[in-house]
Amino acid sequence: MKEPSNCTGSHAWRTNLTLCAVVLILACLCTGSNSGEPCTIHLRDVSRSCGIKFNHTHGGSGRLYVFEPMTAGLASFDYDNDGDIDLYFLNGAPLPGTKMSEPQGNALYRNEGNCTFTDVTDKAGVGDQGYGLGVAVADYDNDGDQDIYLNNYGPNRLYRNNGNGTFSDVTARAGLTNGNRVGAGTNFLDMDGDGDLDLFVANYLQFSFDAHKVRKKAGHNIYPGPRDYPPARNNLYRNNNDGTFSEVSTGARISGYPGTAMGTVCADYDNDGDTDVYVANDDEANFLFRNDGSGTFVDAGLESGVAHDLSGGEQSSMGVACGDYDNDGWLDFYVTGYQQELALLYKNLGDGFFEDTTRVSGAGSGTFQHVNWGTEFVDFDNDGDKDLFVACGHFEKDIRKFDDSTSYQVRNVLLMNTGAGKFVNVSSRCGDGLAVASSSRGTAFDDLDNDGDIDIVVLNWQQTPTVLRNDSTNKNHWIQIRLSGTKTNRDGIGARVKVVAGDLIQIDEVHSGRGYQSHYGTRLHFGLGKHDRIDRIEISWIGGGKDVLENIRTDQLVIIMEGSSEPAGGSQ
Amino acid sequence: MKKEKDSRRLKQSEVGSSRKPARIRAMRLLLILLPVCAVLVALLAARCFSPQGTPPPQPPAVSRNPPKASPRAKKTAANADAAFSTRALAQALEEDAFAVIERLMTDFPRSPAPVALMGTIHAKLGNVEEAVRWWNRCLEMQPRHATAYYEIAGISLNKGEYEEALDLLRKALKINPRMPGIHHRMALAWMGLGNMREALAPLENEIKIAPRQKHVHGLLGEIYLQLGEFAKARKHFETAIRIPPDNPQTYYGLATTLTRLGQKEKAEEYMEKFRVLKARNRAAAAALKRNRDDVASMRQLVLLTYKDAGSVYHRQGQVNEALNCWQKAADLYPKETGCRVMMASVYAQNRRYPESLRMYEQLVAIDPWNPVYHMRVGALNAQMNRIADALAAVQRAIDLEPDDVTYRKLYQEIRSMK
Repeated sequence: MKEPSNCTGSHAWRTNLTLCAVVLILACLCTGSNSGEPCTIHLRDVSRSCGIKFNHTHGGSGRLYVFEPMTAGLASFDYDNDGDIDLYFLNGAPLPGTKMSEPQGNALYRNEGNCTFTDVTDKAGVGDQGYGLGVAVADYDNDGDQDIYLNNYGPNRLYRNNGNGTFSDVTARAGLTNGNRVGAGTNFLDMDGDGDLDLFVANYLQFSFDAHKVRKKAGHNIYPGPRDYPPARNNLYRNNNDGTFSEVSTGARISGYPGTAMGTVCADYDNDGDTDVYVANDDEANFLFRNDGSGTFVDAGLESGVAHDLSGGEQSSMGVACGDYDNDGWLDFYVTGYQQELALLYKNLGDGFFEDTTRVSGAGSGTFQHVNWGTEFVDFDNDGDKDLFVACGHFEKDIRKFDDSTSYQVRNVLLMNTGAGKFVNVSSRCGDGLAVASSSRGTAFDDLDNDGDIDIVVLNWQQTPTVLRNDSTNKNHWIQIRLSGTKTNRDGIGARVKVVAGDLIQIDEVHSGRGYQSHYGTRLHFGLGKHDRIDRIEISWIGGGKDVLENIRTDQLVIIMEGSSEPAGGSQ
Repeated sequence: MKKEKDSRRLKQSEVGSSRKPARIRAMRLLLILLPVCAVLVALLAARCFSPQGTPPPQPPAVSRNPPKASPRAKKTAANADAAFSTRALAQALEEDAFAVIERLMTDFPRSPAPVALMGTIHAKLGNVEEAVRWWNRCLEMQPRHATAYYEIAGISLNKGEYEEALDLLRKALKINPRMPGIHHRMALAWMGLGNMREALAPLENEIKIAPRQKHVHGLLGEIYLQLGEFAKARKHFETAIRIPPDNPQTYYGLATTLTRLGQKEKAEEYMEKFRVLKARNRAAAAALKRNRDDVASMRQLVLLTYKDAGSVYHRQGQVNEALNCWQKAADLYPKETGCRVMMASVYAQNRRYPESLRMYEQLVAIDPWNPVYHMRVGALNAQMNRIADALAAVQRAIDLEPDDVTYRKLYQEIRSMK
């Protein structure tokens, strides 16, 4: 039996009101969040303290050339082999009508540890002043250090790493100028399994200043679209293994498919041991070039279901992420697009077909309102499943004057994988990192401070970049793997890695060139959740070689040499 | 000029704030306001029970003055000087649209319809925030305004605020369960929430309202496809394909479904059809884009304004004003069907059969695939004792929709008139 309450009159009223208030506050906190899922990811904006002064420019004078909004990607890689990840930013360049006292060019920043960086562009000799769009990084000459290929508007550039902190421009010798095209994504891949890296060079469209068009909306000049120009053919170069490349676009049947390429990634989507090529096209059907193993390709985009959205519509595709988000052993794709389009998640069904699972998975959350660019599947909280990051922002500075449903500068989007094939938008709950509003483009994902979780770098259009340090605090385990090919290419580009820890089985591949015209993640990263031991790591090298390592300690970076059953080295 | 523009914008403080603020803030505010509201309710109750009773509702505090039109605003689309630049012409058309609504506001100061229309025009102009303010104003004037809820829900959908959209659509649905498009929008909200199963019922309801909706069948097909219920998906895609004109997306859906069902040859056949249709549509879209400019989009805006204004006049019993507005809309856009249907209907109601017939003949020319138009042409010819013409027209309706017994019945009735 209850004790009779001794609360009477106004005191009781106050008590009840307080209780109501508590209940209401709790209720509104619950409903106000995106979902009941607790957010286990914490991103901190350290842009101001990291020492990066790079300032992006699109180089335009207000004439609004069609490719201005597309610049640029960035690369994160260890250029000096000192064990930490450095950053390379691409830049626009002055276009007709623009007066710039000194073109700024690209910039290389050396990681000094602890998320601080020093500008070493001049010393390294990589301050290309071409109009930067896409970048890929790989050790194309198998000499033990990573080289840079730039896909520009205008002549492209190949910087060969000299191994002493400097690079040499070897474009002409290598035969990789690629004419005077408007570039896009670019990728190193071993297309024919011969042990050296070939090069895929995507092109956006056919442009000349004479053919420049300006569109108008509500009295405002706006950028033209891709359909205002003829589509462009992509290019493929075979590595001759002597420092030179030969164009094989026609023989490889790549040139039969003109498109409007943006982001690209090379990955083995059908698990047949060779590398295929995915091309996100702007306002055109996407391509999925299936490799027959010999370096000859056929577009399987339409029949496999990744050319269009669920309704058969072409998206204005921008960036492309590739990873196994549902841990079923097949690589899936996630493709970002324009405003009023959902970014699309294509689940690989494993039989040559993909299914657009955007709506059922929640992977489109937060993307519909904005123009979306860089993206990747990354396990930010090391819980064993891959989350999604999406960089957003419009390119019309005055967009709100004629369309206030979107914005020029917006916050980026983080979608947390719940582990059950669903994503939850946690952008407003993952620390101050996503409070930054910018017009973002390329993104890079790597462990900048070597603390076992993946940090983010975002190239912002006409602005300084954003560096987001992953400060997620959990006791989840992880492993990072750096492959070193001996018979195959030195970076292990294209190799498939399977990590087995108890009932958690994950796969990933080493890709060169990915996301939105960017490069990152040569070191593979696997979150392991509560698993404190790895039972097995299997590596399937391009060309068919396999290595298996067993009983591996977690929470370390391991280097695995091709042909070895023991890690060649590592660090905690 | 500036004053005119200002009158078209509602100040944030004039109306309840837009539906954008986060719930947390709203709930906190609610918590603070609870005691205040209690006092206000008490005061209001005291006032209601006072001898004077409740004061009459005040008209909204929006500008109702006819616009002091600049010379440019007075120019209509039809007689705009060719020397006008594209932008100036577009500007003139925009002024035209606003002038029509402001006249409506003057003529019907207590009607929420012009206020809702103002919201629609702002939304079309890309001023979404302003549009929501007008629609909220509309709800203040008429809390049971289904269209206002429906329109605000559309904005919420675009922002990805699916829960909020659902709440608003439920309110609209309660007021008008047969509102065209509402179930479709509700299904989109459920789909946005990833709940495919819940999205099915609204679409089934939408089909009950109007069965020949290709896009609804297409969407049902897509949902069943995602649910892995391929037989049902196939049924809906096949239904959609039977409704002309040809639409590539239904072929894509059907091809995908057949692939999942293991019928690869049939799937390839439909995928090929998709490819062909897609290429054709792209060419058409490219041509459209080449001709698209500010004037074209503004012309559509004025068309919408005249169309809706006509409806407002018609509801208020001003038939001639209504016909006048719809005729202007029809003149502006020769392929517009909605205003012609309304004109034809009003002419028929007023026994002006030849004028009604003329409208339906125009509609048949615009959309020869619609059996309803043919049927109406037949019925009107019959009304005017042109039996042979009547039978020919109804026969065309039967050819287009052989399963519909209404047309056959009408055919027999007309034949018996011979």
